[in-house]
Amino acid sequence: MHPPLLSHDFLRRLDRLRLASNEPARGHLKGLHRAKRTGSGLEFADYRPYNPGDDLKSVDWRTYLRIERLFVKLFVEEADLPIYIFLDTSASMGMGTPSKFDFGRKIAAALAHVGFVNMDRVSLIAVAGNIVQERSGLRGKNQSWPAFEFLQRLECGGNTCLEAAFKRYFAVPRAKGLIVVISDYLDPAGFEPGLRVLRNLRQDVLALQLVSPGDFEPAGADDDVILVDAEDNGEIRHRITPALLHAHRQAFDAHCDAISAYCVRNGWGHALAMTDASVEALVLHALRKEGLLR
Amino acid sequence: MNFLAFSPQAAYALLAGVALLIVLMYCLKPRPLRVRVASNLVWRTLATLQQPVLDRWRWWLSLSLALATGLSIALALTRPQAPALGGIARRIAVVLDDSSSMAARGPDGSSRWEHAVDRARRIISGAGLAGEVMVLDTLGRTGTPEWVRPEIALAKLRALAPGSTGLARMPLVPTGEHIEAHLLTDGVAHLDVPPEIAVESVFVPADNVAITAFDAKPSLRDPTQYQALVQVFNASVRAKQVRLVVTGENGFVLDRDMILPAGGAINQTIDVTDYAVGVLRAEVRAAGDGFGFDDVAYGLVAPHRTKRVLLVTAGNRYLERSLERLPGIALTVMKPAQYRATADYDANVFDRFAPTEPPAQGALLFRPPPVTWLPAFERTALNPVITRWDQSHPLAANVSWRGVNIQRAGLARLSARDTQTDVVLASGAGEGVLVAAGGEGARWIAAGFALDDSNFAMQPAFPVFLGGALVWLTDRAAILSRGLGHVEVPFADGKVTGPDGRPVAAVSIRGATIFDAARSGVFTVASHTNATRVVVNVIDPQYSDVNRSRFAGAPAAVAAAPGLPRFAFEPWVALLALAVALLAFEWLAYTRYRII
Repeated sequence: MHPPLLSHDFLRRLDRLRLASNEPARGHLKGLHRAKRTGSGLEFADYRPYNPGDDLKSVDWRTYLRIERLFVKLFVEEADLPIYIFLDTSASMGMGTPSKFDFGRKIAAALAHVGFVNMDRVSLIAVAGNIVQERSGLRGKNQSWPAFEFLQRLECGGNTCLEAAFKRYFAVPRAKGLIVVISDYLDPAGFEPGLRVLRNLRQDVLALQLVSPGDFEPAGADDDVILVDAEDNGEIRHRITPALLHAHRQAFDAHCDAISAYCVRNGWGHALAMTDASVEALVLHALRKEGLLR
Repeated sequence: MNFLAFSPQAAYALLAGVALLIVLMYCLKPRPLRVRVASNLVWRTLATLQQPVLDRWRWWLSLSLALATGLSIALALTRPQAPALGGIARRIAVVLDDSSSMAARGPDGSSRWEHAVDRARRIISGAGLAGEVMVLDTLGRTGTPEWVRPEIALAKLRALAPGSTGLARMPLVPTGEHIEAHLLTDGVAHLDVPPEIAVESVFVPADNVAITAFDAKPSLRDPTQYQALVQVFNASVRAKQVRLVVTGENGFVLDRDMILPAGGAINQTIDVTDYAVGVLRAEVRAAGDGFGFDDVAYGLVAPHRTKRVLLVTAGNRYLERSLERLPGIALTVMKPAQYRATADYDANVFDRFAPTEPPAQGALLFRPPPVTWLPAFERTALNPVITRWDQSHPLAANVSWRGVNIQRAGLARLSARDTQTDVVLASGAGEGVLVAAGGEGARWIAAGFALDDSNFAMQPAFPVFLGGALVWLTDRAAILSRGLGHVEVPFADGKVTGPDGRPVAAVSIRGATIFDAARSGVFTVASHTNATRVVVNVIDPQYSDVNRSRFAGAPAAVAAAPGLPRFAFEPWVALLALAVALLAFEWLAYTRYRII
């Protein structure tokens, strides 16, 4: 029996939130997000001339009395939002205290719960070098606990290769929606190939970058050390000096800034999450402040 | 290089071992710590920041610092010696000639002793802080020779001074490969110096005028005339104007001026008949005199007026004629029937007679009849044989009893109550033929035989005996003349009083009283039977001839005395300080990343 990922109190507070997407919802099911198409929603969208076969209930009789022409009232369709939550489960996510993986799946759980509350279709995809596991098409509030169970069963390991995972997942047609990528973006090939796949799919993306304090300064590194990559076990020997640490911090900041800039350039959301902060604070405050949650 | 704690081989081995250990530790440095990180993606971009050359230099710098620190500590353990720090530790034996001539002052006002002490101090200071010094002297007053630290040796040096007594001898000086030996002398004393000892001269010419002889004696022709003989010696290298001053008690003063050539001596005879009795003090005064030990001498004038002697006899021509011929004697002869006790005479001679009461003055008695105040000559022996005589007794001095034949003599057996009576001549089983009493009362001498019953009056020693007996009876104190140092007085259990009236420590060994006369003057030695006055003087021409040096005429051989150490600590202290400084530098520069 795994301990609960999220507390009840936190879940109650998540009930009032919903994920923001820059794109209209493309879901096929009734949802709470404005869709691009018109339909049977409550919000007025437009008029169009009546065509035979149109439902007479949609004719605007007031307009007919005024100008003696038949117009049909169009309403904004409210559809569900397909949410694809990609959780990086590579070995690098297992680093840090708490590990980025634990931190990431709590965020994934929180966002999935928000999706479920808003009747969105939530897909949970664990990726490493490829797709490890997925639970797709979960919808409805009662799917929170199965989703949490799925997340809790995940284990981290393997290499990061977001490009391969995205290509593989979107090799089959998927409804456009909101793609949430929870990762440390420490892909040996760099973060761009993976995100480029999403850009080519013209998906709306929310990039959550997880950073642990150890990513800035490795714990226990003093003087002459061999840094062992957690994923490919590659070794690099460094003489740890304050100057080197400073340079590394600057380089890592540049790495984070590059990801952020890429996301901004593509109109995506980006948030940097330090794992030594609380998940609740991140979700309830930081993401809302960034406009990623409403 | 010398090391105090290790042999050179062990020290070098230690240093090499430490250096090797440090290098090995650097070469056997543990593998770098393996640290697992999430990704080397960013770290790989920093590879260009690595500076292998700088790192290599840092490695060498670190190795150098470690070597310097380790070797400093190891070197400190060996206690090395550096001339600039604490000097070179050596074993130095310093022999100081502390004979009296070392007290002579030169024209510069400094004595040879002061020069020697200054030179010795420099030599000792050159021994280094860890050196060992043995201080010896030629008079053997430094106690048991031992190696001591330089500061203790300097303290010993300060306690020494030239002595006025004793014979200077070269002490046994330890020799060896690592021992330096120095003798500091003025070359006056005759010392048998081994060749391995460096002799340094502290001789400086000194002016000295001395009294080399002084005695007061009665005239041989007329004992009532008293003369003082003074010999004044100029040991200076130039002629001297000298004043001789003879003083006595009650304002008695005589003085004479004289000019003495260099090395010359003048004998002066001074009539001191007017000085009745007491101590005479002679002093020479000369400008620039650099040696004061021998400027003063003492003499003693004994009572020298005519002695009034009473002879009571029924008729003894030999005795009467012998007494009459003694110098300085005023003889009165009377019959026994005429005798009345009186204080008009200095001594009495009784022949076959003895008053019933002891006379107030001393008495010499031949064959006395029995009286209470004399021991009884109870047994009469015919042709007694003299088996023993007390040679230490003044009455027996200069008198040979071997040729004396006695036909008949009374023999006295002393009882236990006769504590102050001595047997001078003994016969048989110690019975007294001639006994003498020298107690606090009037002295007396009693012979158990009459002159008619022996050939004693025919002996050449008879007048000597008579003269000695009268002196012993009239003058209670004999006079001895001695030099400084140990004085031996020929009777035991004497109590010695110094010139200042204070008691002087003395010991009695084998019938003699021995004491140490450390200064000139008149000492008094008295026991219950004897008393004598000892005139102690420094009257030795060799003693006063302070310029009789084997270095005279040659320039003083000034040895290159090593300089005083610049610092008052050994090098190991500096090495430890260096190690601490290096460790501090390492901590500041490396641990605190100051150089990175």
